[in-house]
Amino acid sequence: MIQLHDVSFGYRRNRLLYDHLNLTLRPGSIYGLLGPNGAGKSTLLRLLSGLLYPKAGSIRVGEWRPGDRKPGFLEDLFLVPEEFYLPPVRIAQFVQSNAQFYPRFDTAQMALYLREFGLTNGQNLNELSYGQKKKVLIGFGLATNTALLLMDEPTNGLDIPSKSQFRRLVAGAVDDRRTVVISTHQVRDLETLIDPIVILTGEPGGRMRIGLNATVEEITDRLWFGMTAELDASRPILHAERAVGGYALVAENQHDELSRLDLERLFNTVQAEPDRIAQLFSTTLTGTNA
Amino acid sequence: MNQTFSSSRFGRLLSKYISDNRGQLLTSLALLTGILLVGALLAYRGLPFQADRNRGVLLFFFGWLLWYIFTWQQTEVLNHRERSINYLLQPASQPEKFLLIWLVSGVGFLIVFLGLFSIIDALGVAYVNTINWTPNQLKIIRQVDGLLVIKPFYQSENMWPPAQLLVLTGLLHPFCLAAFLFIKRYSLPIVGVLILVTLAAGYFVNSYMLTWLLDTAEPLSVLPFERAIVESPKGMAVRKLDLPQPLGDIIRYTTGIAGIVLLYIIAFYRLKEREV
Repeated sequence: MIQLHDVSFGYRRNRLLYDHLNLTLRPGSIYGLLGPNGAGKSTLLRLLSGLLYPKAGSIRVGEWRPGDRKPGFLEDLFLVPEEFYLPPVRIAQFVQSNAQFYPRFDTAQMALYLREFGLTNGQNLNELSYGQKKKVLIGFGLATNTALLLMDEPTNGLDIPSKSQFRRLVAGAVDDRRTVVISTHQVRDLETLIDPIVILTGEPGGRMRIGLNATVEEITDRLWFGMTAELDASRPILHAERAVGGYALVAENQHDELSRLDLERLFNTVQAEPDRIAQLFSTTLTGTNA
Repeated sequence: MNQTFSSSRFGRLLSKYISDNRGQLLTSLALLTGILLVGALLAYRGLPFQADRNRGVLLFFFGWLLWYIFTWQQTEVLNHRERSINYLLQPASQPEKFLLIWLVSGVGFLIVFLGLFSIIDALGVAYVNTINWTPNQLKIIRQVDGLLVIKPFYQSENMWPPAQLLVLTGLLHPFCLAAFLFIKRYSLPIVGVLILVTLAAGYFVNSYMLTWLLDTAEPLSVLPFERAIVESPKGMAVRKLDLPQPLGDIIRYTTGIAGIVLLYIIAFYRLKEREV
């Protein structure tokens, strides 16, 4: 269990990015962390991994406080940052020298990921493209089998076939004890992978808060996503967009209608109607957001 | 599992460091050898007493400069976000990570540098000792009461440098480490200037204090930890003014060690609290 309790953080003393932020993440899920540019998605991942210290409040990852950077915590955490450095060594050497730090590292799993991504152990990391390097890092992160796996924009730089490989591999690497948090802008890439969904939204004054933290089931229970030829006045519409052949709508689901989650429109709805979303999801946000 | 220190974990950290940085370390070694060889070409060209004096410059001046650059190189990675993330998230404790930097940039450099210097010095000395001097050169050697042959520095009687030089050398690494971990941008020139300013400040404060304490007519010029040279009351001669031994050196070493420990503690906490 990961808990952020009343966390305040800002890069400048008098300008907080988060103020009294509360969030609980449970194991066995792939969390999608979405938010507008500058919302602090990467900051949140760095707070969770102990690379940044909260100005106030506390963060607990299981029994650990990330800021202590204890070996026991670090060997059960892996972060795939958006921008990263890999040493100029062969893949096999990279795996060998890093795998020894992670007690649950699975060499066979890593070999499988490399094969899936079309890479071989003998390739030199400094001869690979950005996307190929990212595949090595993602594969390594999955093979560590750490309890917490954080990925910052993992699909950036991946080609189209690799994105579906990525979804398949991540989905297959999650078990009951593992929490995966993926921060992304590329909602279409990960629509079928992430569940629950955490969306950051801005408050007046520039601070960010959790606008939504709910599973896909909870979202489609409360919201209806669909297309209509005309704007339907009988529906309590939260968000409407002009689309080919009519309007793409997000409305309150008052009649328990089935619909398919549209992540991009959900994101826009949360940004446009944060207070109404907070009311609708008050039960899922309880204990999650201040 | 011990969360503070584990020798097996530290071994893994060290082996990963060597594996990841093999190319860079070999390049540094080649550069160090090249610079020392060029220095040796200049230092061992003259007469034996000149070579004896010049190699001190090679050992200390080149040694300090190269140590300074190597320490910067090792800490500079922490100023690059991507590399810093790798470093800080390695599953090892903070003391182990600090020990790694200390071992590589401190002890590691000293061992490699002194080893290389010993080899180059032995070669230089062998060269100087086999030269057939011309009568004119022999005359100069006798005039300065110099030796015809010199010994490699590790065999010479005055191999152990004076306490003040040792203390300044000992302070260099912790000072650089703490300063490089404090200053994130343009740290190479800024810390260099900082060292020179600190030495100059130490020189002026020390000189002023000693002149004031001894109430001498002429102002004294004394570097920190150095002996003072004062005019003799008997005419033109000068006298070396020092604390009685071994008390003088005990004070020098104690002050130096206290400074070293304090600076390493500062460096450790700077590393521990680093945010990326």
